[in-house]
Amino acid sequence: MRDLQEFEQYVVARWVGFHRLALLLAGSEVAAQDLMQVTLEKVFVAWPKITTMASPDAYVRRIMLNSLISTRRLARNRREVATAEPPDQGSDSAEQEVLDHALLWPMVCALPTRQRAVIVLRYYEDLSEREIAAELGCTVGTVKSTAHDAMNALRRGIAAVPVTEGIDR
Amino acid sequence: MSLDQHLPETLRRAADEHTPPFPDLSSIVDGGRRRKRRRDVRRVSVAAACLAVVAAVPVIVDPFATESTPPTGEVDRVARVTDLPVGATPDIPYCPGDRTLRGAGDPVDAECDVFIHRGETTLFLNRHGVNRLAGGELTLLDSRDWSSWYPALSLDGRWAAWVTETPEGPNAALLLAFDLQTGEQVAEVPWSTGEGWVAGIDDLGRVYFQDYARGEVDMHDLRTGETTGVTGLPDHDPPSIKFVTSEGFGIYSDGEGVIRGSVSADGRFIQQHHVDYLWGTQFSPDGSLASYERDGQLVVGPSTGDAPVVPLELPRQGAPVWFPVWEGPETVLVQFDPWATPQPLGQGLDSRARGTWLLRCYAEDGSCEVALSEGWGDRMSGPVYR
Repeated sequence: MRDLQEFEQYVVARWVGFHRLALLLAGSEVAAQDLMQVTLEKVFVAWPKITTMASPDAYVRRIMLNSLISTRRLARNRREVATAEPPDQGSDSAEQEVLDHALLWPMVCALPTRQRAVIVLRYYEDLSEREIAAELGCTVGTVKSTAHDAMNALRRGIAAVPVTEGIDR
Repeated sequence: MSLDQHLPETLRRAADEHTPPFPDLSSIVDGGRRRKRRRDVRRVSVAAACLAVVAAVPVIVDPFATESTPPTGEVDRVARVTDLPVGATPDIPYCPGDRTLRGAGDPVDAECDVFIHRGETTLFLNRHGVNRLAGGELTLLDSRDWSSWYPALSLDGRWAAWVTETPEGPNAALLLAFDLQTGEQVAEVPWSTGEGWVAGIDDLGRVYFQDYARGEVDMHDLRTGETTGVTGLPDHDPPSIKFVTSEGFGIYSDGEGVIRGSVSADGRFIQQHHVDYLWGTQFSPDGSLASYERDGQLVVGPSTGDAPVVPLELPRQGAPVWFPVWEGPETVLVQFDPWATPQPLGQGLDSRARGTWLLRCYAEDGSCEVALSEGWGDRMSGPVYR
């Protein structure tokens, strides 16, 4: 690596922003830290190339997305996560009495990885469907259908909650 | 308020609720270095540990210190790099340190980066991609990022092959190959590098790829465009190619060490003989000599037969940062860091140099001289020649 100091300065400068994105993509603080570590290690390896890019942040975001999806894919393929309980669908009764965003956030976390990524990129990163397709390496049509499925899942989750304050179903 | 309107605020609040921990830069950098090393080691050898381990000296010595150096019993080795005689500049392309590339026709204005030199051919790898350097010009061969170690050049310098890196992942990679004799691209085929790496390409234009997942070696013949599995490999799982020769390769064999052999047109490995050398071996232009690491020392010896090897008489203080590159039929160039502590080169894949000197060593007697002193290479902190 030609300039370690430059890499470290970049990480420090972008740390908060990337950490927030990692948190939303990963769905938990612990998973976000793991995702940040993996992502930035890969950024370190690719740093000489990244420094030449017009938009290094976008490339780092893509590395983060690939890391997120590939990690989840590996975990699924290897069946390393065994659980006796069905997947959390975000309808825990304890969350029903809290505020709207606190109700909705666990539902976002419960979405499948790609659906959550599409929601985060669309509503947090404010990317267009075309930009999301480029980030995820898929077609715009896939983004549309994934977003559609995600929104339906969220609406089903909201509908399952007896009391919601302020969210139109 | 609709779900569409709620989501941005929900996500923003969720993101803001957690105070990010302070970045642990050392952990990230260490992890990045390990990741790079793992990737490289996996690609180049699953048995890098077979290289002789040299006990590292746990101090950084000052190569320019005035006090005398304790004797080691090796009377032919000078203490410091500054004690070596000064010779001519390299006969192969090089960076003198003034942001130009020299030694291939007229100087080329470019910041120093990575050279790969075999035969009469030099590839130059920089942020623009893979270039050929010849006749005072850089010719861009391909701008896509390469992966799976550095591009491979056949010993005669005719064939170049490498695998692209794509954001879509290793299963979307492409094998690219060029016939540098004609300047034409001769291959661009889908190639998965998920569980393997391109070990090299021989003078017959055959790319060898070792696949760890399947435990096999594939051969892609650039002349026919066909890919076949190599049969007759010695026992070792997964296969571990150590070097590629003009017509085959050397591969590790359980209980026997490294077996050198040729490969027939139909992909059969024909075992020839056992050799001492491992990964990192470089061959002289005519293939008769090999430079490699043995017992922690860089040596030069015949590539076949039992003639004795010649240790390179490098200064006692410092260490080479990479394997030698052949400059001509009888000399090698060694990138030498006078501040480094000795370590097996095969495991120091991303060793960070602190100001290397470029030394020329003679195959005949191992004597060395300075080809370029500190300051060459435009501040490159890693090996320039690969």
